[in-house]
Amino acid sequence: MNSSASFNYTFPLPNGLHARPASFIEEAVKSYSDSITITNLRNNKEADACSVLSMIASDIALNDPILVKVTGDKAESTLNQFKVFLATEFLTCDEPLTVVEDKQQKPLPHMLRSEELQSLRGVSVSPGLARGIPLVLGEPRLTLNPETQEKAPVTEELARFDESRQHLKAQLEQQAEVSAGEEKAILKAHLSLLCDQKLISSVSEAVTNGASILSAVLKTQEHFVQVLESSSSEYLQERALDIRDLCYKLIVETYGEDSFEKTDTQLTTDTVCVASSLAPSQFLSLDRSFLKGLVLEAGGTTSHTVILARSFGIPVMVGVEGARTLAADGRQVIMDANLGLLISNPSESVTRFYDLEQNKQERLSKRREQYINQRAVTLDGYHVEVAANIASAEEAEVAFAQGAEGVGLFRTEMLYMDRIEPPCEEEQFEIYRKALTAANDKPVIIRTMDIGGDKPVDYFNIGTEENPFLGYRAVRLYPEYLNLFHTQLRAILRASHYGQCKIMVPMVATLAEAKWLREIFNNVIESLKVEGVEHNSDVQLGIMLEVPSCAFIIDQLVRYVDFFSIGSNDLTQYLLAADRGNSKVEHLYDSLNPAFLRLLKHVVTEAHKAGAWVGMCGEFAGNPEHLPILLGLGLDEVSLSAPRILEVKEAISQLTLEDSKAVLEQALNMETSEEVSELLQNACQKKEVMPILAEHSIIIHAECRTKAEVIKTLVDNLDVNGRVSDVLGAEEAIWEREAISPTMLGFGIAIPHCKSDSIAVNSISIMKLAEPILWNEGDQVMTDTVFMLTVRASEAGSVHMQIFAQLARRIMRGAFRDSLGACTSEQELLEFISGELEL
Amino acid sequence: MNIIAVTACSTGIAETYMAAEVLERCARTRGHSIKVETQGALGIMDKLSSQDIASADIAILTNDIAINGDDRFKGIKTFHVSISDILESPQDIMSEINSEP
Repeated sequence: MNSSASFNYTFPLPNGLHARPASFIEEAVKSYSDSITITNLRNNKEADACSVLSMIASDIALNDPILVKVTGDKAESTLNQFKVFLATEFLTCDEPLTVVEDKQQKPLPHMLRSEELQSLRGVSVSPGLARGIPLVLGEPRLTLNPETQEKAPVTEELARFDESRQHLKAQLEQQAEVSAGEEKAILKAHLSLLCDQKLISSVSEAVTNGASILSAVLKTQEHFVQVLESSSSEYLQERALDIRDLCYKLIVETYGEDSFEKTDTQLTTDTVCVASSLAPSQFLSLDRSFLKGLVLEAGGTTSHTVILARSFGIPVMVGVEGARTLAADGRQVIMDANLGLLISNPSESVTRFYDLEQNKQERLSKRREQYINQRAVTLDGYHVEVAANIASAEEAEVAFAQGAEGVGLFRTEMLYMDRIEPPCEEEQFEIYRKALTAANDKPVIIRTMDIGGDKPVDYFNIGTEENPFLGYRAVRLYPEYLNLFHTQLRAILRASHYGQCKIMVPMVATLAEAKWLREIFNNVIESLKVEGVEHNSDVQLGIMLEVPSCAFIIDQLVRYVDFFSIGSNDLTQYLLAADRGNSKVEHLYDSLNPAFLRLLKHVVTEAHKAGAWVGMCGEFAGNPEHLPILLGLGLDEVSLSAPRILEVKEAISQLTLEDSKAVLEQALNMETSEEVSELLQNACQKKEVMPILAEHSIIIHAECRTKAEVIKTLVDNLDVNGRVSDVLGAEEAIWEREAISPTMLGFGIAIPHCKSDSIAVNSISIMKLAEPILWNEGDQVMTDTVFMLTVRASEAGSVHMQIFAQLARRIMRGAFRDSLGACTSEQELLEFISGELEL
Repeated sequence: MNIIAVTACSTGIAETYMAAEVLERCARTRGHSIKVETQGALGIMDKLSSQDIASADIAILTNDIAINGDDRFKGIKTFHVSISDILESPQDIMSEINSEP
């Protein structure tokens, strides 16, 4: 008997009901025999929960009132089932979108401000500099006429549509198979659109009513595009592009390549492409060796094209209204996606500005490049391994390219999620082997599955827990799901043959668990031996140290495990009994709390005493400011997200173990985390190792043509040498001082200077110009020598200030200036000034 | 002549000391005795004592930013000059001082 039931619901996801959560609902509803409709009570749009498109079209945004209605035999029970789904799995199905942090336009640097630019501002969504010829891309234009398109009888036409759809489906599936990362995700999204019931029925109905496939597809496209574009969510508006792209592919599949005009998008030289908006397939067809940048007039930051371009590292700006017109009469464009600026036909001085800028960027990446293949060593020779946290084998390669000395945490739970059954041994083996091969004999620590209340997986029947973090998760599940654990261990141990592999188990809380783990581990090794399967029997077995109880039994744990990796997030949460997701208590969740630091100290000391090594893989390890603590503790390894590795390695190379130990000792005796935080800030600022004057701050025969070029060159040079914390801020501070009164002295010397919190290290920079320049309009004397003095804001009365004062006095002495003029090399100048100032 | 002076500039890094240097050199070449107090990033250096002030004929004070304790110089012939005047044309300042009765 048919019955119906309904309930009211407030939509909980911040990005609204877009494709991802919609397909999640569709997936869940498929298994019910009853039908479900969802009505957005804000706009009275009704959607079928079986159709992703119709759900998207209902334009449901965060906090919209929703009416869920179930019709069918078991309406009540289906309703309850669906309610549970909405209250649990559904809540975690969507990741937050990458939000562009700063939509506000950055001020232009001084040198560009004074130029008359043919330019437009926009929002940078993928940073970088691009120079090249502009190329305006249009939408592909149809050559067929939908009015007069020939068509076969309805049944044949329907069959043809079905055939095209199946072909395209197979094609997309195949492409998805061989692609990776974002590209794969986007192909999958297109696949789900292609299989959408509403889309299929919309085309089929039109064909049944006598339309050709062409006009049916176009009509369907128009309908859905219109629905999406009228959506109030920016994110949904951008999905219209995906519909267009898919319909384009459907038409090409049905009628052949000739159905659209051939557009000449063959790139032959460095090019910046400009378009109103660009479909992902159009983007992918561009030759990426010549595609230097992408400028879109549309404002969306989450279109699939943007996501793709970002994953390939191509600079992208969006929301650049009028870009096509600007580019149309441009012979050359410069796209500065760091500032969000598109310049057409740059003048010579603008070109020179970007030559300087590019030079600085190259020197900056070169500065950090040296750490890619270098071990992280402190000034006094102490090495700590800096490793990467990854969640897929593909990330391993990227991490090593970014300087990782190993993988300190390979999270494997992702392999288990979003699927109906667990990954088999062979599938896992291939993944682990891939990561180990990429590591090229560097260590890779694979963490066995950490599945539980907060990371639900269908085939683990965990149910809803009141307190998942204190519940049934990770190692606690293994006895019940022993087969799965066995499979994973076998896969890892087999892969261990291909590199330096270590195994780590999460959430161990008792000695009994460690003992049990060692037993199982030995059993698996034994059975691999018996079967004669290749493996490495010396693989280390370690545990995550995240439950405080372990800290007090380290001497006993080492009987069964070889190493520890501190999971700082959970350890902090469990030690301080504070959930950081709860705004009322999140202030208690604090890894700088001296109690937590004391626990860390205890753990590292005990582990080392017992002969085991200790690493850390939580967020605490990823913050360069914490380095004095991490080094002071004597950790053997830290593992963090790959993009931070070079920064951390560089920071380590500027610290000493001795100072770090002293900082930690102080921190351990402090009363509050605020005190610790302040201590660390000062510790990081204390870069006294860099002398106030160094050869790298002296430039002889500089070919600068203007005051602006001089200042930019000198400030950029400070940046490259790590002497400023904010390069634009430092340059502004210099110009602010110049605005008060000119700093040119009567005898050809200028002394631009500033005192600013954008300065990290007190510095004297010296430049001798190849050709003298006019410092200020109206100067009687040309300037050929520049002393730039840059001082930290907090500085007062220090030794450095005396040096600056001495230098200022010396400059006023004729004899000093004469000797200065006689110096012809950087080295000579450095020796002379150092002698004068007794450096 | 007994000259006293106080120099101070906006950032306190360079000109305070450059101006002090220039004043000292110029005055000495002209046979005057001089003492310059600098108020810069080093704090107050070579602070003028009440004795220095009492025995001075003339005070030169820079007027780019406010001088700390400028009420000390009441009753003394005082010249207010800008730092750039000192740096660019110190001789003019000295001549002006000399021409004072």
